[in-house]
Amino acid sequence: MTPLPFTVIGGFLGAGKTTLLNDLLARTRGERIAVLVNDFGSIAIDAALIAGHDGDTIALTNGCICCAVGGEFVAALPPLLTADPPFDRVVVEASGVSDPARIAQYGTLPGFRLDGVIVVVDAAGVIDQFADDRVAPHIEQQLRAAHVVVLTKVDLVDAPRLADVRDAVRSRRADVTMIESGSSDAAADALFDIGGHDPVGGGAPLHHGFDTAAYTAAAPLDRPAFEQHLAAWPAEVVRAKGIVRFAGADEPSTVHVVGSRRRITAGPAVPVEGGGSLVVIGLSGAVAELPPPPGMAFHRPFT
Amino acid sequence: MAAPFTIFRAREIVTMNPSNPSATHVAVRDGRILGAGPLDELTVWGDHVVDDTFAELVLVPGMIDVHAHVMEGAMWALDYIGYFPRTDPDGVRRGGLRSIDEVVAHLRAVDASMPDPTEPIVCWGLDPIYFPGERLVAAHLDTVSTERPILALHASLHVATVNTAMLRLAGITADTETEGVVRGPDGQPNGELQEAPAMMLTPVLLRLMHLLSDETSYHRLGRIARNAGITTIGDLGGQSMASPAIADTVARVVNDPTFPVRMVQYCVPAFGSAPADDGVVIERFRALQATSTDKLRYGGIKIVADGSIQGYTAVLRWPGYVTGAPNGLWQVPPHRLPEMVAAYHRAGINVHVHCNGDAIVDAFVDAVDLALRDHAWLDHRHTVQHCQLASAAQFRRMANLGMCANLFANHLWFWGDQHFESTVGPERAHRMEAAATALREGVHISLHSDANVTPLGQLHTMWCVMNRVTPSGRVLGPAERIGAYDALHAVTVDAAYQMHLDHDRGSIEVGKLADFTVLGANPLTVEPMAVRDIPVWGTVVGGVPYAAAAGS
Repeated sequence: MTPLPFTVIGGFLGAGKTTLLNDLLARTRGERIAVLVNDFGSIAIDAALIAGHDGDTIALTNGCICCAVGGEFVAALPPLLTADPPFDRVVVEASGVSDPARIAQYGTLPGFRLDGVIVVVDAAGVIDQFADDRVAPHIEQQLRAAHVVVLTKVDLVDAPRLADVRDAVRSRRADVTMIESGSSDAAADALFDIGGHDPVGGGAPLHHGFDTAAYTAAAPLDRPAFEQHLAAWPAEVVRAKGIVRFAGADEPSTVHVVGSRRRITAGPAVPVEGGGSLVVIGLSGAVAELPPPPGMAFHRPFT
Repeated sequence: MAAPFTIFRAREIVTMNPSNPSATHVAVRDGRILGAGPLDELTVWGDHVVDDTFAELVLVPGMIDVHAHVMEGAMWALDYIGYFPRTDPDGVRRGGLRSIDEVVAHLRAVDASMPDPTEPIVCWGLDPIYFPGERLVAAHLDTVSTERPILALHASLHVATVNTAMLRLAGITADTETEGVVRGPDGQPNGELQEAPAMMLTPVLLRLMHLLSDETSYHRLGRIARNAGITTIGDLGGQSMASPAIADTVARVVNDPTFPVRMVQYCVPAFGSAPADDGVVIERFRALQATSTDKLRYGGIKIVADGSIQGYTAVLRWPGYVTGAPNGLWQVPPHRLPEMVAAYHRAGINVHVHCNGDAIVDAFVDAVDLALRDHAWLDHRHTVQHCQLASAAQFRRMANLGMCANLFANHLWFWGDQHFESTVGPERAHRMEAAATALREGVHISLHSDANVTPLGQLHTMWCVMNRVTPSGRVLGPAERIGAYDALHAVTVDAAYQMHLDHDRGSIEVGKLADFTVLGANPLTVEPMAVRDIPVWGTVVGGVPYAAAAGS
């Protein structure tokens, strides 16, 4: 069975976690997503989307669910693995004062696959928050856990201030992928892998702000060289996925990149042509320049 | 004509009623006290029977532990292997295992007593802090059994050690990705699992989580409270607001007339998270409060604001931890604490906040100060829970603002040496649980066990603040010792006071609930060092005697 992708959303109170979740729930196209929140608080699901409300669970007409788990978080996980029809993804909202890295570890349990930790940062408030020694340690903890940082409320700050915010985040996490939520619907698509942006298989086009590239390989790849290449990718790479075959390996491997997180796992046992393929989603302008991993070449289906 | 009422005769009755400090008899009708005094002052009430059950025993007001958890009852579903002996729900002394060898020998005996060789052993209370230089690993537990899965939960509840059979059952290998699976020098898992995600790899953790809301855990808690002589227990991790199903369970169990202890629940608005909308919390709390009975009351709202000192997660003022460890983090968003306190205060709800570190005490006191400027409810009795490191200046502010403190007295014994040596250092260790300063500055204090963190038993908490002795023989802050009367007052009258119940319990006095703790000796007159060894016969709750389990 394919492990269930597990995404954690962290960020301090008021940073915009809920907005991101609302975007996600409104935009799925066939993906069944289970969203676990602490309480329904500010979750504002479009009434037209709600199929039913049963105690701590809201069922959506698009097949997604939203559960308020509070302290029952751990107990809420096992049933997600046996749901019928199965879920395509679990998204967990970490409370404003919890360590997303800790919650992310639940995504490594059997049946799940930790996809990534997304930390939402309030561009209008974070400079003040870094100056408050009661709050700064929380945000710094969240940034340490982050694979992708989403800057929100960027429209509330001017360009020099935004540059300061980016520097302040960058000085605490040099390698983290940072995106702006100005086009938060597009961000949701990229972060949660919605709509299958797969030029190899012919997926939906991306929204503005993001580009994709696809690579294929004619022959099995050299694994150390491949890993080394991915490790050197710039922070502008938001997501990558693919199934590749390494030289000398009995079965294919799956590649998942979410921001600064790179994961290569064994399987699935499906036929792979040559060395397989890889799709990369990045910030506009970053991906077109990105050279293919050794042994791979750009795949250009439309040219 | 009314049925005859009961007059209990005792060797001595310590009433804690300043107008009538001692008596030999107490009369009870309809679960309440008709009066205490000599027999001839009580017979005026008419037809009675004299009950001599306690003729050779001492009655004190029913002892109250404001701060305990149902986890205490849940844990006793498991075998106890701790360093300090502890009494189980049946009154049997367990644990007291002083080395890894003793732990292993004990587990071998448990293994031999279990017919099904595949049934796991799950045990709790292992405290490696007392086994310096040694570390329990899978290899030790493999000498108990290579077939039967074993999991030993550490006292902190943050770590477990398992044997190879449990590693196998859990599918834990060198390839396991989850953080907290500790590796030995050979790169293989050595059996130590740190934090919940790693423990969650075993099938045990989920079972423990379910136990927390299980009816049997409340029953065990009730029996332990009775054995310890406690007549009212504060459930300070109250889950009723988090789950209607749990609320139903608690109400059914505690309101059952055979349940031996009263409970006052302080509800946690939302577990482990930023609390829900304050208005919703208040509405839900009021709905619960409307169902309060003499047996089960909803006392107020509990907020957890920081972590623990021994876990280095409490938020301290300068100069922080003596080891240089980073300061603890707030467990609520800092701006939310004053908002929540103000909202609940305005709604007339008693608020108890978990504050271990002195910096977080400041934050709560500041919040109450602000709330009072806005809304003059003077008799709020908001309580600083744990309050382990508060200074004289902080106690003065608490007194001025009408706040109470519930001191985590048992720390003086269970972690006193560690605090002196490796958490806050000598001067602040001397100041911990500063009962004398609190009383001098006019703060109503109580004492608590935080069971399951330490064992339930108010004679022990009294002993701690009266003697302030550590296991190594140190006396921490002798100037902070208080006398037996003040200590007993803290676990009776003032414990009731901080839950707004002192009009109804806390002393043996006409009109109050007939709740007594029945002891073998008078805690006010035995040697201070002997207080914790006074035998507990049991309790009387609402006029009904509940004998402690005989044990063995």
